Amino acid sequence: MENLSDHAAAKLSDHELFLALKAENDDAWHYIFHAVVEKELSSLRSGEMARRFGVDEGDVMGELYREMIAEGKIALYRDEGGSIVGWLRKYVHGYITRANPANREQLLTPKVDDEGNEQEFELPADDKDILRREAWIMTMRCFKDLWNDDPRKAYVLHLKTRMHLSSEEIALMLGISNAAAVDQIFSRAVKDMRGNWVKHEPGDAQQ
Amino acid sequence: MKSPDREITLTFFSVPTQQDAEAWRVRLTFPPCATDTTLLSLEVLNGDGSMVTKGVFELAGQQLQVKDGEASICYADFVAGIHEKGVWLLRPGHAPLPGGLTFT
Repeated sequence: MENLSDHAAAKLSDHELFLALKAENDDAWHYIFHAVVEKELSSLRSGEMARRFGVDEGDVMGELYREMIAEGKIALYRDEGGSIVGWLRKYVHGYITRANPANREQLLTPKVDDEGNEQEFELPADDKDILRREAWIMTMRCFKDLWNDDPRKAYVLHLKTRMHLSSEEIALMLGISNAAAVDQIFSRAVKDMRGNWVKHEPGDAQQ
Repeated sequence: MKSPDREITLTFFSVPTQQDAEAWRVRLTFPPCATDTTLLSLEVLNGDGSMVTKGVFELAGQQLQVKDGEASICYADFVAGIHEKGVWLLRPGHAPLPGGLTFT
């Protein structure tokens, strides 16, 4: 495992990669930098947050390596065939979420109960505004794909879900034969939107 | 063909650009109970909200002349070109910029 190249690391099984990472193999960790850190920071769910909170790949890689190797958390990976890349990406996403200055303050301020006793720290939930914005950007992206596939699907989806028109009204408005045909187009549009969503979230699709 | 008994508006936006000044927005309005021969009106605006004084808006395979922020398309022509993907605004002094229906 000593002369493991980055390319070869990509071909390892999850079990082999786990062992290489645990053994602090440089090439395996180099591969993780590309497959986990860079990929997560360029994803829609984390990229926007990372930019806003001033977190770069170096920060995240350092934190991941410190936690996994120095603190030995790599041992927590259940080596039962699950994706180690996916497992590490969850950690990376967590670092970025916790880099939110608002959450940092929350972390530094212990909760106090009614009697003034300090309670255990709690990990903050994801920043809901950011998640909402990301979801909206994603929706627009998927909608653009739907348009590029067939604008009529996009019109039907829009008229049904945003303008709240009935299938009969849409059929009459767009010259579609009948309401059942509108329902069929709508159902395909929804299916395509789901497919586009998966396509734009490669990380989650792989996990 | 007939539109519903209430006004329906569809909004088209330009694709995102690095310069806001290049952006455009077009609102296509179906009046209540429009029929095949009804002319649908379009409001054509620049990204800053000012009207596009002169240009051509391409929608549903039709090249629509824009004058003082307004254009129009025959309802039947819009429906006939419903599968056309190209949506473009051509303005003097600006590079042609594509766009599409927005989910808003």
